[in-house]
Amino acid sequence: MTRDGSLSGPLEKYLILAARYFFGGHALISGANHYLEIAPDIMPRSPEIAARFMQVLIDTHLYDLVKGIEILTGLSLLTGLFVPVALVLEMPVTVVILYLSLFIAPTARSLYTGPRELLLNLFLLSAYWGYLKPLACQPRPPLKTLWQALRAERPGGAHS
Amino acid sequence: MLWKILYSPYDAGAFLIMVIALAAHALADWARSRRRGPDGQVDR
Repeated sequence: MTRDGSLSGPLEKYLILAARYFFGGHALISGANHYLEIAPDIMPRSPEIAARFMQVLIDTHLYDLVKGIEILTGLSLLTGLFVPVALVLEMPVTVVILYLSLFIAPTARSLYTGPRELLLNLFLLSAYWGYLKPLACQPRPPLKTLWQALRAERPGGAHS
Repeated sequence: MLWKILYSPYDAGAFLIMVIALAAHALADWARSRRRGPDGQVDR
């Protein structure tokens, strides 16, 4: 780490960028493919409980929501806009994918892709740790409401 | 067998996106570094 807190070298920077672009690209393709149907979907269809779970997600349109989150995450990671928020938003999706991959419908490939999904998400969260630390390291945070912040930002400040 | 584990169309697409985006990023970094003089200031 340099004195101004920037990255220590180009290798570290490009490693993080590679992870961001791969994870973002994968999320965007996975999300967009649900709507565009270019490649066959990779949802688990066996055992029966996995197929039932996926069918309920589809019937309740929760699957559309998940794929929407993946598209937003992908766009965010590829453009570099709001990356820490996108990584936090993607984490529940990652956990479900990991759980399905390891415990509900394990295959040789899912045993590789499930942990990879988690590792990439955690690695990128750690790369943006400085932005997440205020959220994660305050056990009893005082209230800081949106409306207080909006009032304080108005001309004249909070006392007007 | 290993190929079946490692390969999927999604992964191939994501890898391609990664390579193109990294190349674009590296090119932009290189162009920025060329515009800087030896003192680190941007040439005008």
